[in-house]
Amino acid sequence: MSVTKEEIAGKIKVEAGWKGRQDFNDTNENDLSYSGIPLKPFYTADDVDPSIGQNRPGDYPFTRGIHEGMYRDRLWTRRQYAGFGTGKDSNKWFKDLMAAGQMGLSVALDLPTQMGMDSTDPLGKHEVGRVGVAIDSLADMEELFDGIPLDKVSTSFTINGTAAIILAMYLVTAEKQNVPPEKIRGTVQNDILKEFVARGCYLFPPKESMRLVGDIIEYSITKAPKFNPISIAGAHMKSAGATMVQCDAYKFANAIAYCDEVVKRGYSIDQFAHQFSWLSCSNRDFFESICRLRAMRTFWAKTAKERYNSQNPKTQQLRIHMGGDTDSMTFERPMANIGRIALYCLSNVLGGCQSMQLPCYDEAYEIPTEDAIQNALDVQMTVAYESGVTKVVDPLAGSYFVENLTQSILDELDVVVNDIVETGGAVKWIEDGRLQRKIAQEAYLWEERIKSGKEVMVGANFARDDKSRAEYETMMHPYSEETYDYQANSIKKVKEHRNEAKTQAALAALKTAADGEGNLMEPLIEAVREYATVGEICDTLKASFGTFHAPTGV
Amino acid sequence: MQRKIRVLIAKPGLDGHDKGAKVLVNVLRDAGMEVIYTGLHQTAEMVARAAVQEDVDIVGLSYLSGAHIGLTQEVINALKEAGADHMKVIVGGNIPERDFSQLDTMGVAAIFAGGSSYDDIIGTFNDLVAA
Repeated sequence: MSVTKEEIAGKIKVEAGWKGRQDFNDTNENDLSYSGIPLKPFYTADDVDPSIGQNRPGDYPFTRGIHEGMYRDRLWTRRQYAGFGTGKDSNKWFKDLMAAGQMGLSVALDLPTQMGMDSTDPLGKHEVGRVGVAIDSLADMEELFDGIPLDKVSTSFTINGTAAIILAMYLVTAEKQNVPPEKIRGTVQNDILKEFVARGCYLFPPKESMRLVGDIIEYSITKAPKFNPISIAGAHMKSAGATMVQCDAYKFANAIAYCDEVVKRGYSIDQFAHQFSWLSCSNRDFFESICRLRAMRTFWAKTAKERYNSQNPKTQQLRIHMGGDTDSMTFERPMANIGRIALYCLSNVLGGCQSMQLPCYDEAYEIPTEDAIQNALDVQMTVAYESGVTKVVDPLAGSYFVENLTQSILDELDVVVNDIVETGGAVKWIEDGRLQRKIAQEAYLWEERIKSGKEVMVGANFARDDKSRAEYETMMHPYSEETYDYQANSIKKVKEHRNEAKTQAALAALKTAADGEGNLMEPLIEAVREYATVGEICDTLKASFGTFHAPTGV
Repeated sequence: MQRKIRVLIAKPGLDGHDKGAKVLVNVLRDAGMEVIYTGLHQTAEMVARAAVQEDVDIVGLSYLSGAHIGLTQEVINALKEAGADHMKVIVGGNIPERDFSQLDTMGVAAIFAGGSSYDDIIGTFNDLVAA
């Protein structure tokens, strides 16, 4: 079944205000960037604003980088995503990774933990320890960081729906190492809005979810000032099918919703947004990826200053963690993926990111093996230490093309973000399923382009070989069925040894707090300290908050 | 008029990656089938209930988290319990080849790992219902 562009254009009704690839159906595809920005065969001085020549790195609006010296002064943080099995399994792996050249930890959590269930919950029992480490109670967190000094390491948790609980566990684990909250460094992703449109790890309705997001931000700015209470993410929306520029725009629409949530509690932007971390990814379009970073920095600086009246440059600086398009990792000829990730790494660096994780060559099969993670670290270290690209800041500035594309992306962000904000904002769009629908439509169009061979994926739909998947599956990450038993036993032990009366009292106090309006972090910390499990805590919160099913968009 | 092929696409378990499932919903609709999508986080019982309510011919299960063996067995059991074991169960997503034979043994009618062509999927669906 081959579908022509014209047929697609007829089938997919384009919503007003939606800029995406299909808005340009009459254009030759060589003349479009990945996200659908029109390109010219070449650019001249007429295509750029002459005043850009005066811009300097480290100066508002930070198009050229948030620091004057960039990588000359400090390289980006290499932070590969890892975690599987039990806390004990991952603890060993973390120690190995740090020995192999990793600078910060990035913790993957399994799906039951992300969905607020204990490992023994029937709905989650097949997923225990599979895509990340299983955390059921404080005991697992203690095991995960055993012998890792939490005042020395920065730890990033990919956790959203249960971010407040995981942060509470991290704080108590640190406390037991005599590390006070003000010394811990790291990030919880805590970006719940994108979970409703992509990734799906949300527990409560949007309004209650936003309250928890706000509680984490409020707690961290008052008690744990070195910890990033949120990492506002676009990359997952790419995985769900959005174009890159849509990801960036939706991410900023979500960010505005988070800022409004905290501002309405009486804080000014400069009291909290300097601790924001951002997350995005580069993809196959090398130049668009570089220009997106320049445009995102500019957009955020202007939003902070003009929309929220920020006076502090730190608030206006977009500190961003970059990945690479995980979806582009092919099953077929997985070693071809190493070329892709090297390009992602280079565009992240030329665009000026602050930290980086790369997808791994075996990513299409399973969570990455240790060899594949080492390879991704090697790619990062090669670009950092061998290529010389770190010597000059924002080296592509002044290219007619790069400057023009940066401006075009910035214009597009203005249009799309304003459209969302002026028609109810991100929360309303998500409740109505509008963002989900746009992303699902975009996914369909892209898959059709791959299937029809209009877009090349080397080894997958171009220059294929006859090797079967099975030949590569020998390098897959092993899954141990024993993880479930280990966790079930750990929960049992925890429940036997904890002071049950204290645990129940802490859960009751949490319920009372959730029924009220105050910040939930302290009651959560108390419940965690008494070894209440993730499932017990989430059931308590659900009794107050209710649950929610986001519209699917199809 | 010939009855349209009716399909339920489901996401059992906790995995939230449903791009592939949603794309397939659109592709099958384009091919003239009636397609219902369950959304995320379905238990086996929820899938079986929806399949019976919608009186589908084919139940398509999508997985990316690696939990396909255990969850598929649960769905097949639930369908049997609901008296719906005539429905064809197909599995798609990130499915390693080493697991194909185990899924076959359970009674899965077809497996579409990543990279399967739309023509293959649509053709197989048509054949399964015609058979």
